[in-house]
Amino acid sequence: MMFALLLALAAQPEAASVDADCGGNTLQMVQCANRSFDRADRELKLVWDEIAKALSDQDRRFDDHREPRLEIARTAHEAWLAFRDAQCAVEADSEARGGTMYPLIYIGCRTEMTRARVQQLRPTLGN
Amino acid sequence: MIIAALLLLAATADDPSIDCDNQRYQVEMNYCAGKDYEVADVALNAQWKLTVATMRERDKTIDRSYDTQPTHYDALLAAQRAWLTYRDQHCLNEGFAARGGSMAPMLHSGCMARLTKARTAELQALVEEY
Repeated sequence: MMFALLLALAAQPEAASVDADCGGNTLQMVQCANRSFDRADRELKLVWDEIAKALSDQDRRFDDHREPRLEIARTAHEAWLAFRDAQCAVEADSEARGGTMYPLIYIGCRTEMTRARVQQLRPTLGN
Repeated sequence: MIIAALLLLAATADDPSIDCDNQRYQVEMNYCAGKDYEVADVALNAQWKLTVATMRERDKTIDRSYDTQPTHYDALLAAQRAWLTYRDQHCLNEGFAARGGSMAPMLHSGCMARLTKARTAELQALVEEY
């Protein structure tokens, strides 16, 4: 079960794009894109909480004095969050440096990467 | 334990008696996974140089009279450093799934190879899409 979980953790994000569901003027599009990101971010937090609970249970079963799995996994997850934001800055920079589209591309990229990670993590739950 | 396993792996490096197209034993699988990662790392470094060259070209178009943002190259470097931290931490985690068992080096190297290949594709996409 943990093996499958870890394989899933490793899958990679897709390229960035602007949220197709968002219309209106630039400000409205940014607000809409932010809402999409917030939804994806909440989902990721829920999935992560489930995984943290599973790892915590596992750490209790393996009383082998090794570094807790949960701490290693948490460090990896936090590193992924930092990578997501840095990678999306590069993508937005490449597509729209200094332009009005920059925030839309940046937010859209973070939403897509977050959704992709949720999809990778979710199937591993409940196993 | 993983470090000890990797040292063991290094000791068997370039052993011509191991055929990675016909892996039978765990020690062979560990060795071949390590080889796979080495190849992936070379490819990543080659793509990194290409992507950096493109970013440096883009940086020449930046007008510093109004644009005070980090350069394309600086942003790329920050992302790459973040990715390296993510990959290493993530694969430490993945190798740890075996809890020091004989599969641990294979899980770790396999993870490193997989993420490295994916990153190479991302770095390529950054300079091909636009």
